[in-house]
Amino acid sequence: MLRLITQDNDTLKNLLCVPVSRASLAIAKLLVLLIFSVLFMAVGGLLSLAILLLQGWEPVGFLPLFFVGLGEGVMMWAGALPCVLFVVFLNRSYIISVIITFFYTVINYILSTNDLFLTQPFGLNPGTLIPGPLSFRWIFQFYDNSSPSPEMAALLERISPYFVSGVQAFGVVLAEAVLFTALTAWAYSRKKD
Amino acid sequence: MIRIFGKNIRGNEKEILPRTGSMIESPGFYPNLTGTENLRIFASLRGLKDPARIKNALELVNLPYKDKKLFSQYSLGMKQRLAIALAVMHDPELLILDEPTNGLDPIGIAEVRDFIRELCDSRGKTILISSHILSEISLLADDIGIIDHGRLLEEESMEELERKNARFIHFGVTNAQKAGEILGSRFRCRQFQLADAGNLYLYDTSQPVEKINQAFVEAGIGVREAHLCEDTLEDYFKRITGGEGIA
Repeated sequence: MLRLITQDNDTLKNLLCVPVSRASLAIAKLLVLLIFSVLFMAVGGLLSLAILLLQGWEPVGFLPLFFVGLGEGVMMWAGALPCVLFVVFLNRSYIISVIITFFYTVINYILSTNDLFLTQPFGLNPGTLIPGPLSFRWIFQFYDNSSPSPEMAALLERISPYFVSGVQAFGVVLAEAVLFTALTAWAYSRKKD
Repeated sequence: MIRIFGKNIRGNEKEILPRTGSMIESPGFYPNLTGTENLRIFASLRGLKDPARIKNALELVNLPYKDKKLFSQYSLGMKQRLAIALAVMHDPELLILDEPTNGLDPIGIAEVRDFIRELCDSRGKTILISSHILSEISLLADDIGIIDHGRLLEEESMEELERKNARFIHFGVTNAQKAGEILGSRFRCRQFQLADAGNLYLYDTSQPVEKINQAFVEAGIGVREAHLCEDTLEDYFKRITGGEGIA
């Protein structure tokens, strides 16, 4: 949407004549995506809080989880960047972009529920580098597992040795974000409309 | 290589583009914003802090300032005028307008023409207009350039063009061949062209038309018309480009 909107409204030529470089445009759009992603999680968290309060429940441990949610927003954004790069590189219509996004999301979801990727040590491997599994290995440790079911206990036993710390998770996220943002800016600046 | 202000446009965009205003093809703005809001975005990008610039640009093109009408609700004429407002808002030295009267009604065309002329005459702007409507260009331009397939074929001032453009007397006759022979023998005139079997163009306009007419009739040649003509810009264009379309 962000990429195609300048195409639909034919505003790109006016922006380029200011001049605003294509690379700057691409980075600006990605930053807007980051804001949306974090806001999405923030709003979701605050809505959950509101519902809890309305029902008269006490929100125990809300604040740490709220910030985990914001972190998840950043991870979602970084996780979307490879998909954004692919869409920009292919330079196709809305439909193709939606299809690519759908398959990318499904693949990440499948991988993040697969033990093969969740039980890889931290390092240069798909379990660390692919956004879905990495995100799961970071966020799952914050869930309330004080009274797990037998299945949950078995899962925890399998994957808890492979949880990643915030520093590890966001280190990978930051590196990937910088790389894919730079690549997207480069790909967009080489596009010919 | 294209040079503007003495510099190659490639690699010097940051120096050249702020001094240039342009309107390229169809107007491109955000449909969910008003005209003022759209201009505000571009003013901000250009570093124009004074809101009077937006107001003045809109007044110049007769569009309302701080109107609630969204761009998506604008007529084509209003969209064109907003595009012109955007091009002039930052007071550029050079304006590049691509088909500025495209889609406008006759009154709108006349308004834009007067506005462009005023920009040039009283504000000293250099304006580069591209257009396929040669009649409009002939009313507006000081200098003409004819581009065909990416090549500049001819560049001329309008004054020089008008001087060069042939004036001729068009005779519509029943036998152009015989008419040509009479011109040659009785009037000693060779400056004519037989357009076809029924039409003759006499380029020596000093010749006495009434005597020529009489001579034709006496020789049994029917004359259905005789009038003074002048090549238009369109005729000149066809001559230069070879007559093929370039659209």
